[in-house]
Parts: sequence; C-alpha cells; structure tokens
Amino acid sequence: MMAGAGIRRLLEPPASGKGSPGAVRWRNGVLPAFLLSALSIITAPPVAAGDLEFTPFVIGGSPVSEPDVPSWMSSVLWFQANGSQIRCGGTLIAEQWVMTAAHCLFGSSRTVSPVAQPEDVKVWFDFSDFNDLSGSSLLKTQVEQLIIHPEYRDRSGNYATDIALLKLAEPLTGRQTIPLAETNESETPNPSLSTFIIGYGVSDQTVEPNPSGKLMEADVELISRNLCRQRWGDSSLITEGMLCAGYLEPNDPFVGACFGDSGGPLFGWYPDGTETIRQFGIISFGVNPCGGDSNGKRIPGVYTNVFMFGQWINRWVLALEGAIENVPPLNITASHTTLVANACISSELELAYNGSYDRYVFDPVIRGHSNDLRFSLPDRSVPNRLVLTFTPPASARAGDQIELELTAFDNFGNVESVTVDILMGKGHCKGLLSNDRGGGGASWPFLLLALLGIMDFMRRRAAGERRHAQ
Amino acid sequence: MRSDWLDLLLVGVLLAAPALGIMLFADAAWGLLRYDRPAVLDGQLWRLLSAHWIHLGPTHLAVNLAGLALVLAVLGRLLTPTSLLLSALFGALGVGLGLLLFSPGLYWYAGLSGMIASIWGTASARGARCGSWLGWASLALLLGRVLLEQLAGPSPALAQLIGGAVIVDAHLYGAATGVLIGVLLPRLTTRH
Repeated sequence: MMAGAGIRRLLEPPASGKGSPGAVRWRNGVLPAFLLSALSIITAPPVAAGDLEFTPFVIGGSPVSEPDVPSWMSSVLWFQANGSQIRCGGTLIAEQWVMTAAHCLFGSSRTVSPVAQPEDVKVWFDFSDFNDLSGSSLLKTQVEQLIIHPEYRDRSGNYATDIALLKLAEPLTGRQTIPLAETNESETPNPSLSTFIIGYGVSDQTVEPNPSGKLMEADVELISRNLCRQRWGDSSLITEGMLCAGYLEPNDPFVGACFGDSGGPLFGWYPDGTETIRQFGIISFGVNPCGGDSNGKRIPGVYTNVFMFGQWINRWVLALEGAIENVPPLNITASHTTLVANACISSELELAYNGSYDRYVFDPVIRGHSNDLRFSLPDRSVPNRLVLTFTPPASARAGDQIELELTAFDNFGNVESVTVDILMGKGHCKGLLSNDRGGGGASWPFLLLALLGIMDFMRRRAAGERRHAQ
Repeated sequence: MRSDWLDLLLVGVLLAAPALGIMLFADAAWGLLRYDRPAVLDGQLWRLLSAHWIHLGPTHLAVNLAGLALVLAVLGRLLTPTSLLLSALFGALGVGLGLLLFSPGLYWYAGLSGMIASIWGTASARGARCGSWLGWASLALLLGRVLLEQLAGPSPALAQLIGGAVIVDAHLYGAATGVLIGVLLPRLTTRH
C-alpha cells in the first residue's frame, strides 16, 4: 500500500520483468504535465526504486497479522504461460464469487494470452505474507469462470467499468463475505464514513519496487468527484462509476494503494454504530509514485464505485448463476484466410462471431513486414460483426507477407484467435493513400513547356536579327 | 528583368544538391525526412520542408531534376535568383501545408515536383505581369496541367516510372503558392 508521478494501474508488475501490465494509455485531451510524464511508463520496465522521485518516508498503512486477515480478503493470482505472474487483490462477495478489477485479467505481453483464462487464475485466502506461507492456514481455490464487465475495454483510456467477477470452482460455504455499499459516495462522500484499503501490494517504493507480499491496511479519506477531477486535471476521466480516496494536503500522510493492490477493496462502515464492514470501491488506478504526490500536488487514488455496479453484480451472482453453463463456445471467422493487398491502399477484412453474447476483439497482432502498418477498428461494440480496415506499409514489396492475428474474447472468459495472411500485390500505388485515380498525363506539360522554350528562343533570335538588320 | 544566368544556375544547383546528397543516405533519411502526416501532426514540422528533397529512388530524382532543369531553362529569364529562391522555399512550405490542411487522406509524400510547380508558377506570374507572351503561355499551360490532373488524375506511366504514385494535389498547392509569390512579391524580387 502506498503512495505516488505517473498514472498506473495498481496491479503487480509481472515477475518476468517485462513491462508493467498496469500501464495505461490516454485516448485524447490535453493532459497536465504530470500526466504526460506519467504516460512515459506505458512501455517502461517495472518500477524500480531508482526511477522514482519520492521521499523516503513514504509508507502507508500498517501490517495485518494473520489472525486478523479478513476472511473475505483474497489474492487473485494469474499464472501466465510464460512463467510470469500477475497478482491482484479480490474480495469474496458471495460464497462462490470473488470480485476484482477487470484490468487484472488483461496482460500487456503479446507472448501470452491477452486475457486471463479461468484455469490460469487462482484465488488464495487466509494468509498475511506471500513470503511466509508455511505457518498459515492458506486456502487455495480454483476459478471456474471469469466475468469481465461488458463495457470494459482494456487500454482504451476508459476505466469507468474496471470490475470483474470470478466464479470459484467450489462454493466457500459458511465463509464470511463482504457486503457491498448501499449508498453512492462518489459525488459528495459522507464525512462520517471510515474507509480503509487493504492489499498485498508494494508497501515501500524506496526499498522494494515489487510488492512486498505482506498484507497491509491503511485508512484513506473519500474525496468528492469534483475535487478529484480538479486534482487529476481531466474532467472526463473521473466518472460516476469511480470513487476517489486519498489525501490532498501536502502534510497529509503518504498513504494509498500501490502496485499489486489492484482489485482489492476500499471498505469501511457507516456511522450507524453497527460497524458492519461494507465494500465501497475496488482499487483501480492512481499516480506513480504511489501515494498521490506529483510535483507537490496530491492526487487521489481512483477506485471502481461498487455501488454503481450492484445490479450488474447481482445479475451474475444471483439471477444468472447456473445459466452460464449453456454459454456456447466462442467462434470467430474472418472473411478471408489469405488476402492480397496493395501498399498504401486501404483494405477491409470482415470478422464474424457466433452467438448472441458480447464478443470483443483484442488489438491485432501483426507479424512479418509490418512497419507503418496502419489499421483501425472502427467500432468494437457491434456484436457479431466487425470490419477491420488496414493499410499495408508503403515500403512493402510485392510478395511480402504479413500475418495478422486477431484474438477475440467474451465476458465468459472464452478466447479464440484467427489468423489472416496478407500477401502484397505487385508494384501498385507506392506513396498514395486516397487518390488512386489513374489516367491523364504528366509528361505532356513539360513537352509543351519545352516547345514554348524553343519558340521563345526563336522569337528572341529573330527579334535580335531584326534589330541587328536595322 | 533579365536574370543573371550564373546566379540562377547556382540557385538551381543549390536546390538540387541536397536531394542528390540525401539519395546517398536514402534509407536513413527516408523515415526521418518525408512528409508523414501523423508525424507532422505530432510536431515534426521539419517534414513540411524536408520532404521535397527526398525521393523514392534514383529514377524519381532524375525525373524531378530534369523537370527542374527544363523549367529553369525555359522560364529562367523570367526569374531572379532571389525570386527563384523564395519561390522554392515558400512553395515547398505551401505544398507541405496544403497537404496537411487539405489532403487529410494522404499519409506520406516525397519529391521535388511540388516545388517545381511553384517555381513554374512564380516565373509565369512574373512574366504575365510584365506582359511577356511566354509568361502568359506558360501560365495557361500550368493551369491546364493542374486542372487536368485534378480532373483526370496522374499519369500511371509516370507513377510506374518513378516507382510511386504522383500526388497531383502537391502540384496544385505548389502552383498556387508559386503564382501567389509571383503576384505578391514582384517588387521584392524584381531586378531593375
């Protein structure tokens, strides 16, 4: 748990050390300087202590001893095919359901599946330290299904629906779950609310760039959406589906969520005397270094506003449980398996999906001669059909081959890919994008100009001779 | 308004030399210097000018140098070295800006032809202002060329020859800039 000058998602960098999976991209808008600097970590290697500017006393929260570990608190682990591991927090919200952040289920590496698959995800309960599991009563559970919010688009710049549900393979009967918030605290938070965050993430960026693995807890203050927008300097970023929490004054403690805490809870209780713990938010993103400090300006952390997703959660947890078994397998087909394209000329490829459920296509993976390849996905939200427009590079030569791999996934965790071979046609239209019109002539003006030159020369010569004769 | 042919030749060589030099480092220069719309929009403004001095290959360069030589040989007497220089530089800029503002579908562009159209336009306009039949005739020829290119498109044969498409919009922007320079800056550039 901790504090933060670049924006980052708060999941753990992969153990393989290949980039920060939590890095985010902005779509548009004028960003304040601190956000621009934040963008630089998009492809940056995992956070290293030496890369960060922050004061050495940045420590947030206090450790949670094992007996005090809440029974609903969990660690969501994605064991990736390349050996790396992504860790996030999660909370047990029903006997068979764990809630976490959607971005925890998306990887940044092209070498592994872009979206987690159920068999690769585990949920662990009842431990306080990843480094010392021997004496703990660690409970490891399997995941049967992943339900990603249908409107969530990883790396799209829109994080308004950063929420996902994991259906466990077996129900944890009798285990205490965490109730969800009953009020929307986004606009004007109740000042009497006591709110906390908890997680296994980075606890001190000065000495430990990777998550400490120790469960830490800290109290944070809810911050109104307007104030949060002001501090982030981007009014469109913070939506009603988000909560902000942290500290705003320079002398306030440097406390906040950090790498590895994503997906964990922002929880607390109403001042009703019962001290019933409820989950208000899901740890989503913040600035880096953690804790919310950017050039002396405190920036609150941002959390998914659980209250706004109650209906969606209930639909899955209560209403549709059991119906999920009938989900048809995902099938994606492309209009072409091999496509002849010409340099600089836009071509279209149509993708079709089966079923009536939402399907999404991940960014195409391009192999082969791909410099400058431009492509666009005009509308990802239309179900069952998508037209991909792409433009092979100007430098492509006849006979070049480009392999385009398109991966589709749905909110049931199904993943399917299709590969299209693009073969470059013969010497056509290098240097042109839009006006392949043909016809006309280009050399005749110069021939006529040369003729004019000859005529001019002869006229002047004749004039000279006349003058000479006179 | 007769030009100093030696000065004109020098300016012509000055304009052509970078293009020749860049050909030696074609691969390295290509990505960095061509007009690349996304890169220009990203702040790499030098491409608006530098694009005119890089070419698709030796044939493209040779065709353009031949065109430049012809324009200077025929219309050179209507230009001063200063007007030639101004026409080349402002024409290059005008082509770049024209492509940026009015041809959003064009991703990249390279070559001297837009600038040559500008020089042609400047010389013609200057000649026409002075009542020279050559000025009027070459101006009519330039307008006819641009008009036909806009209506019918570029020559596929030339595109095949230079190894790339002819961006006729560049000729249009170049000619327009050149004529403007010839009309607006006579006093500055006329030798008395």
